[in-house]
Amino acid sequence: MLVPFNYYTVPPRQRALANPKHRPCSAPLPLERRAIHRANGMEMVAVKDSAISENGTERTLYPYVTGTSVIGMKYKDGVILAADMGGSYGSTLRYKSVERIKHIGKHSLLGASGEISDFQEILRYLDELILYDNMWDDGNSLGPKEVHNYLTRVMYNRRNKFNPLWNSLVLGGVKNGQKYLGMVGMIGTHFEDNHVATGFGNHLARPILRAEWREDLSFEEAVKLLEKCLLVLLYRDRSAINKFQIAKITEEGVTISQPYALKTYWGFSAFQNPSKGVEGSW
Amino acid sequence: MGYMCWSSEIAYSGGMARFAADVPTRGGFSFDLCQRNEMLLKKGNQLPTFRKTGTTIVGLVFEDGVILGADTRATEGPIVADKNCEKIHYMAPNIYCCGAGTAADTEAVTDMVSSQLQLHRYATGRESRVVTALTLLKSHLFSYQGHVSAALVLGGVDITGPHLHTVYPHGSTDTLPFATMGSGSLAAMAIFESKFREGLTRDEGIKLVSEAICSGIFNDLGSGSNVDVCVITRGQTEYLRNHQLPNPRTYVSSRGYNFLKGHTGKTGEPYIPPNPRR
Repeated sequence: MLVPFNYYTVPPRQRALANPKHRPCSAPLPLERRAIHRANGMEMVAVKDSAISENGTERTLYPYVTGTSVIGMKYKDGVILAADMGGSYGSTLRYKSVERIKHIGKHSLLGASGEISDFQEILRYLDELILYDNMWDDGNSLGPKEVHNYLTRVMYNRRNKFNPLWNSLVLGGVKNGQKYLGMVGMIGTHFEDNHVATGFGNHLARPILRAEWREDLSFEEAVKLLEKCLLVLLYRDRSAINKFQIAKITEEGVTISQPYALKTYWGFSAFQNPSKGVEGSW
Repeated sequence: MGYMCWSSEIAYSGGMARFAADVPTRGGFSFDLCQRNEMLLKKGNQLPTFRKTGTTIVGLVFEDGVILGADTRATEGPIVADKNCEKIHYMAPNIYCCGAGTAADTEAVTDMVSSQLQLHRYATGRESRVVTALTLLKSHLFSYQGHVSAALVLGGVDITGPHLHTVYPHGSTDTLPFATMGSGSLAAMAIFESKFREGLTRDEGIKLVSEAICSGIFNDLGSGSNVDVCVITRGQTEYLRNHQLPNPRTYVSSRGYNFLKGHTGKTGEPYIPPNPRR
C-alpha cells in the first residue's frame, strides 16, 4: 500500500520558485498563505530555515496555484456542492477551467480549495484507495464516512510532519439512504455539518446558509440558494470568476454540471454617476 | 538637540523654551517624531493596544432617505468591554455617522466634526450638508495617515437629497447605495448583496438593515448584543436605540433575583434621573 507521506528529492527548479525574486510574477502572497504566515509568525521562519536538509527534502511552505471557496449543503435527495473554475497564481488568474469537484467511487463527491497540485495528489491517493477496495470484489464499497476518515488521517499526518497538503476539502455523499457532508482542513480539523463552506465562503456564504437552509429543500430550491451564495462570492471575493460547476450526489449517482455563468446586476442608479456633487470620492 | 519638537511639550534647547505657537507654520507633513518612535520601539517600548469596537455597521439608501444600523458590542481583545454601547453618533440634526475601529478615535473624530458643523451652521445660517461632513472627516483622517483608526459609515439627507458614504482610516471615501464596515462587514454584506434593491420602503429598509446587523451579530465574534437603527428622512430623524434585542438575558429562576428586605440601605433622598440626551 502506498504510504502517502514518503520523502522525495525536490528538483532544483522548484527551489528557485520558492524565492520570490525568481517567480514569474512579482505578485504579493495570496490570501491563505498570508494568513498562515501571520498566524505562524516566528514558527514559519524557523521551519523555512531547516526546510532544506542534507538529503534534499523540502516541505510545502506556501501554496502556488490556488482555488477559492467551495460551498456544499445537504438537501432532500442528497448532497449538493458548488465551486468556481478558477486557478489563481498569486494575483494572476492563471487557469480558468480547473475542475475542483470530482467524484470518488460510487458514493462520494470531493471539492477542494487551496493548492491545486495537492488536490491532484489527493485524488491520486483516493484513486488508489478505491482501486484497492474494488479489487476485494466483495460487494462492499467505500462510503463518504470512510473516505472522510481516510482524508482526515492523511491531512493530519502530513501536518504533523510539517509538510501539509495545502487544501480545505469538502466531502459529500449518500450511501444506503444516509446523507453525509463533512469538511477537512489542511491541519487536520474535521467535522460534519448540514452545510459547509471553505475559504471566503466561510465569511460570505455561511451567514446566508445559516439563515436560510432547511432540511427539506428540493433540488431547484437548493440550487437557487447555492446560486445566491455564489453570486455574493462573485461580487465580493477577488479570486472568484463567473464560471461555476454545481455537482449533486444522490442514491442514484453523481451528476456534475457543465460550466455556466451567473447573471450579475450592475444597474443601480447610484452607480451611474457616484461622485456627482462629491468630487474626490468614488 | 538634533531635531525640533513640535508637540505640546516644552523643549529646552540651549536654554530657550520653544512653544508650538512661536514657530512659524511650514507646509507639508511633519515626520519629526518618527525617528523618536522608532528608537523607542527598538528599545522595547511597545505602543499600548487600543480598545476596538469589533463591529458590524451598515447603511442603505431607501426611497425617502437613509437608514443606518449598528450592533452594540465594544471589545477589548477577547473581552466584551461594553455590552450596550452606542455606535451611531450624532453629527447634525440631519446627519448621523456609524463608527468602527478604535472606539476613542471614532468618538473623538465624530464629536470634533459635529462641533465644526455646528459652527458652520451658525456662520452660514443653513442646514448642514453631508458632503461638508465628509470633506471635514476625510481631510482630518488623511492628515493623520491612517493612525486615527476610524472607519465610518456617514449618512444623511440634506437639500440635495439622501447621501450615504463610507470613510476609511486613511482618508479615502466611497459613495454607495448600501455599505457595511467593521469585522462583521462580510456577514452583513452577504445579506445586502443578496437582498438589496433600489426604492425600498421604510419598513422594508429597517427590516433589511436589522437582518444584516443580526447576521453580523450571530456570525461574527467581534459583534454582538443588540441592534441600533437610525432612520433619516427629509425633515425628520428617528433614532431607534435598541430596536431589536436578539440576545436577551435568561434568568435561571423565572422570578429573577430575589433581594430580601433590609439588604440594601436607603438614604431617603429622592431619585433624580440624569439628563436625557437629545
